[in-house]
Amino acid sequence: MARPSRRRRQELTAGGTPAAGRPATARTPSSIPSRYRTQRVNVPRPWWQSPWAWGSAVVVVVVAVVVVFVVVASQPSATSAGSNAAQPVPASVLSDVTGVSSSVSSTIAAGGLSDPLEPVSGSPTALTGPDGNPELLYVGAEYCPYCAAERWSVVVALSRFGTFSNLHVITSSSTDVYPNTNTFSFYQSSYSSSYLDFVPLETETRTQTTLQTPTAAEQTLISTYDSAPYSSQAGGIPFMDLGNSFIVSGTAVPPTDLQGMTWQQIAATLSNPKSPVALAIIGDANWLTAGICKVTGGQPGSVCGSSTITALESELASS
Amino acid sequence: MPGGSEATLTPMRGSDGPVRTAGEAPPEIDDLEEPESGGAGAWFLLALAVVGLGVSAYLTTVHYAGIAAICPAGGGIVNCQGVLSSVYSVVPGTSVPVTVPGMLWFIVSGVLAAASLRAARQGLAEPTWLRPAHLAWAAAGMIGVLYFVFCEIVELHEICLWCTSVHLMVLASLLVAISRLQPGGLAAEGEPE
Repeated sequence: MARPSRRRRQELTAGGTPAAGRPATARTPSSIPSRYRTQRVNVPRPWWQSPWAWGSAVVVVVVAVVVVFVVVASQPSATSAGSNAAQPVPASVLSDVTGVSSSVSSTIAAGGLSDPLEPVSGSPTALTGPDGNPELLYVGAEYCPYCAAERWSVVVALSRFGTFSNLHVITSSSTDVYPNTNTFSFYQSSYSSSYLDFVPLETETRTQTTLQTPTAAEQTLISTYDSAPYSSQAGGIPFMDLGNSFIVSGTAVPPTDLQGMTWQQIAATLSNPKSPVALAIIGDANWLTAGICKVTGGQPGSVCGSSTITALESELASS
Repeated sequence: MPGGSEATLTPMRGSDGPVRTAGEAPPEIDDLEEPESGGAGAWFLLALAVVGLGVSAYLTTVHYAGIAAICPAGGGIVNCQGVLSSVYSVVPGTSVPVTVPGMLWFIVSGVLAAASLRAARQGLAEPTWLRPAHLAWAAAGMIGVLYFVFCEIVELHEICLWCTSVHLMVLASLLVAISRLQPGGLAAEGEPE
């Protein structure tokens, strides 16, 4: 029940006239019958009625919870140490990235990018994957900002030939160049396709602790092709070997274009053929698609038969 | 408050109650230590809401503009950009930054504080539900804050100073809301005459 305001009580205490329109409902102390009069007594107040008791308790609880968080955070992760920010890809992001429209893709075509695929010279044995399909070996690391940028194109391109599952979103290192570039991690992801075997390796976490190590065969490929003349920096990442036919070293997508953008913002640009981000990501993806079509023998026709991809295929440098 | 209060009113019921000596002044109704309308607490809550709304609006602007928030350089645990562009920076399943519900929280908190001040200015008693409602709102906000602190510390291993300032404002709002429900707290201070 509402009690009188101070002004109202002052009026009543002073025996004044209540404000107009407000009927007097209280009596002044002098008019209160003696049996109802009250007096001041010292009654100890329980501790929990102290003005600051509950506030202090809240502060203590909050501090305790934060301390627990810090302790939990300091425990080493049982799965992917340093890959702690990995979360499943939000559905909207996955939908945007794996469903780039053919009209946007055709409009962008090469996106103004030059051919990023370096043909392998000689006649090396074709690289085939565990399922007998042409293999795309990807070597990168979660801390690497260039890998972060390139993964967007890789996911766009490979989604045309198969389906990713268990993809996670991560952020590149906060201490490297182009810090905190938002991207995906291929670590613990899987990819199913009838045309291509995708073998990803994320060698280090965001904090540069070892995550995955290449097999001896993969290391041989890295030693052979992740060096001049295919790569300007021996052992540099990202590195991709497409069926021992093409090598991709580095990224055609400038990480600086992605700075400060969330996954959702980056993904949303992929429907805008005028966006510089879309030009780079989809342009690079189209080049990769053309290269993949080369090694799959033009399969599937629904992807490789498009005029845009066919045109880019014809522009691919040959060994 | 050690020593207890001098404001408890006890009916005089024969020999059961304390006896007031002759000539002792009767107690005044104003001695009641009940929460008052408005007061320093409400002003403080309003100020927190305004500042919190400003910070939330700034972070929302930064999000939609696609620019980096002004923040100490990255590296170490302080990494505003890492937090503000993380998966936890948007409402799950949407692209709406969490600073938008943050803005709404501060707006509601400010409206509740303003309602208390308005009642005091008009000499009216504030609705009895107002302070418990503000406390419940602040408690709900604090639960949200703990979730975001969990995301920052446990999931991201990074914190954002802007976010931390907002978290502290929500905590301060909760403490003031608690205080205003208790006799002798901030509620009784600075009441408009």
